[in-house]
Amino acid sequence: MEQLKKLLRDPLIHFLLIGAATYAAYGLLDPGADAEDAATITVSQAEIQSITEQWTRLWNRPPTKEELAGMLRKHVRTRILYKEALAMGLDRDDQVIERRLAQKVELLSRSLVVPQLPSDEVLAAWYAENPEQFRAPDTYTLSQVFFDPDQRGASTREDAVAALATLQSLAAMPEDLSGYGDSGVVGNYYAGRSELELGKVFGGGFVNQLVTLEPRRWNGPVLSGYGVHLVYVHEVVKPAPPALADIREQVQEAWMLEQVEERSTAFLDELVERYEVVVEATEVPLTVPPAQAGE
Amino acid sequence: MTRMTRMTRSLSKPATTLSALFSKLVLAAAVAAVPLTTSADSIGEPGRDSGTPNPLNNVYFGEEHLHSSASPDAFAFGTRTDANDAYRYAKGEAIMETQSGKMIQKQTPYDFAAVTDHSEYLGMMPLLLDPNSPLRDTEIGKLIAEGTHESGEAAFQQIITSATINVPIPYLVDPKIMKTAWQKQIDAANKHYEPGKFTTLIAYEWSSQPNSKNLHHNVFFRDNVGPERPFSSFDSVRREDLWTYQEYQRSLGHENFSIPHNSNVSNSAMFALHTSDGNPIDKRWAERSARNTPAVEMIQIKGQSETHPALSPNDEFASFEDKFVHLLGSGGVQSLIDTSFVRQALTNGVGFQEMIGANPFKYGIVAGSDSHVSASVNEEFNYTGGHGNIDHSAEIRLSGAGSVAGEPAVLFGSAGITGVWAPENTREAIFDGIARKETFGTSGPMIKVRFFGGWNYRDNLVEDKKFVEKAYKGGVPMGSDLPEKPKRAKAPTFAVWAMKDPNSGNLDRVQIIKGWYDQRGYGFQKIYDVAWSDDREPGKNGKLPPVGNTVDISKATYSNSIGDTDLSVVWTDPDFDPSQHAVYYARVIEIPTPRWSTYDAAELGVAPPEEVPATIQERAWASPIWYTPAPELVEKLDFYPGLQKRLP
Repeated sequence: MEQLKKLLRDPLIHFLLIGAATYAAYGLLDPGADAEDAATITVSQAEIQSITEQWTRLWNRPPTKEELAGMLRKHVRTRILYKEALAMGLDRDDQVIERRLAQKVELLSRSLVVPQLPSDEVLAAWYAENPEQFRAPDTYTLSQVFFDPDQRGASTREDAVAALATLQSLAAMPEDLSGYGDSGVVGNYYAGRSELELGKVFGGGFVNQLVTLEPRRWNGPVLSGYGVHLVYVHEVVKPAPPALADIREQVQEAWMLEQVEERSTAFLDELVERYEVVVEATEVPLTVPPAQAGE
Repeated sequence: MTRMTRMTRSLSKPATTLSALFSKLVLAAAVAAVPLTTSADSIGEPGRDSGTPNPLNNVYFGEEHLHSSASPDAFAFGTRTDANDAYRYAKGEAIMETQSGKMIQKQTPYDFAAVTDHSEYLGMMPLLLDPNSPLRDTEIGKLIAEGTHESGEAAFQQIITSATINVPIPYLVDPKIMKTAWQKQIDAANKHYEPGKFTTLIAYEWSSQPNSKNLHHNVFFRDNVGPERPFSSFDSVRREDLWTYQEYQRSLGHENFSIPHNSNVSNSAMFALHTSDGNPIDKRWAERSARNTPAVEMIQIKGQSETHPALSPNDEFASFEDKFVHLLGSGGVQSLIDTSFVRQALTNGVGFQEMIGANPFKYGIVAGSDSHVSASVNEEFNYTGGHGNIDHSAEIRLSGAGSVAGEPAVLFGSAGITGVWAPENTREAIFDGIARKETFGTSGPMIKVRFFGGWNYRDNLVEDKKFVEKAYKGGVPMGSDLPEKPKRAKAPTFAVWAMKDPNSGNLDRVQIIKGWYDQRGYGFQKIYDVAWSDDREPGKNGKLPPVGNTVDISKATYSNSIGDTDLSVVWTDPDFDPSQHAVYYARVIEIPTPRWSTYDAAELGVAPPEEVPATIQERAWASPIWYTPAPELVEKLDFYPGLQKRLP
């Protein structure tokens, strides 16, 4: 009994069972499938009913005999072309079909395990280990000078580098930066702005570079979607993570997601292990990343 | 045509005297803690960072059309994320997309959002699934409780059929139960409202669709309480009745407006030249329309409604996200084009102003998503679909397998967004900004546009540091009527300022589009290129050559080596006739960038789908400015063929 329980917990076994059940269900729904040989198309009662229902859903009335015949003709044609395509091997070497099927397996693997809700202790311990993703974004106080490629063309970067040397040589921050670059596009000074807020002003590419800048000195050139910037970071504030009680719902969702990810990854790893992988290109050392399937 | 070229300023180096250096050294110690620099703002957004309500208005970006699991059709697409999730996504948090099980997140968050679930059976699907709900004892509740695939299908079929034929199932429109579900929407809006930071609006969608003609309007409220219950198409499919509801709610203190959408698939109904009863539009009808529906949705994932190539043959930018052409739920009937598009309606509106003394189509411009997965997907490079089980992954989107009402996923565009000029980010300020039409819509990017009209703006106004202040003083902002024409003024002047989205393509050009009625009673439209990038010269036909295309389709990349960061200009109407009613709106066009389907194709390593263009020119539309001649200048006609020929 214990062994059976263990067996049922095993995701791979689970998956194979579900696969078998899906197959059985399909066989039940489509009795024609078994009976069909290569040159026979059987349209089952269930299929006719399903086609009729689809029509009714669209038009709010059942199809007439002619309409049904038309739909069936189209259906049969699709089935025949599908069979021909399979026979010709057109499903092979088609990246869209490959990826779609791989993704179906991946999604199925995710639905295998619905984790139990975590206890308070489990959640608190997990949150203590993973506070980063729940922390509010860093806030920056910064000054910046902008160099506009629309106005300066090829010399934009050069101008910025020259101004950087001047600014770095100053003993103190000038009170008015408007004489150093081009105005009219963005402001010179932003106080206590979160990364998200700065993203609204300067774009994502600019914000991603902020973390690499040395505080309390002029840095640059920093690029944005507008052009070239010199940046002086006065202060970076990293907010403390919120109390668990305030964001319990979010933390629990993230915990559940991680559980599902872990089980799904473990399962896909196991699946890959059942294969011997031969890579013919010798110059590429390759390990197959199992979790990437279908992505 | 004038084009403004900004002066290149020389790099001035401040003199460093010994005493200045000394005082700076003294200051240096304090500098790190208390920066002393003043902010030189963007010329089009002065005073944004003052921390107090800005009389010159700031721009706020957001979403005015979004569905969650409370909409029965969204539920059928597999969406289980609710209004709370929708607001969290809009604010920039990551949420789980129900169908893919993946976390999705915006790169740039919004400043405001309104969840607008269908009022027909609003919130009923989640309630039917709830074992503790009183609905569990009903016929449909029992079917769902059975839990089999067939019973679930049967239950859903009953609901969809009743919504399609517009005959409600009595226990699903029970006022008590409806109120519970509606209150959840209100609570979510109020919970996520953070004045100054993030605004929500209490809202819903009235989904009237007689004979598959899309007459949908979203309804928005200014207060924090909202109406007792929403108005649904079960109550009435006539828009005159929606207005009566709106006027009644206003009398109870629930100030509100409604915004129509998808006129592109309204089969000529949205901007018809007659009332719901087939009577000619009269002054009272026009005034009620203008009062209750101050704005129109220009674009969303089911296509743009600005204009159609058949209506605007001279507009080389008219064919844009226009592949969604069939009436919803019609089984493939193409929507009629005439009186289904905004530009024509704006033009006919000024004709009505002349003919009956009121304009029924006096719309400001907004845009939204109409996404049914609680996620407003405006970022072309970050598109995760709008209909759950038919388009949640690149594979499914490009496979051609899934469809919504018969349209394959690839024909859907990414979401549009709304920009509102308002003094601060509060519910009242955002609502009032839309109500006075100081708004613009975009096809997704956060392009910023200012558009002013007056009678004597100087040519160099847009170079002035006090551009915005002087533009307000000497004229009116977008969404307004031009002041009365001074005797000596020859033609109106318009000032436009447009700034690119730093996460999107550079700007190709700014256009002003004019619609007017002539002395024979016909409507006309003309497009003027008024500012553009890269020193191009208009050709012999007067048309500006295309800006070029840097997109590498196989990699889905582009370069901002063409186009400009910002474009601005003062333009004078060269064809002005003081006796003609006219309407002007601005359109800003980006350089070509990859469509979402091209990003998908590059990710999958396949060719982009053939049904849609691989590259698009994203754009923004600024709300119109209207010119109404003084009565003594106008010679009224007995018959207006442009407005009266098509009466039934």
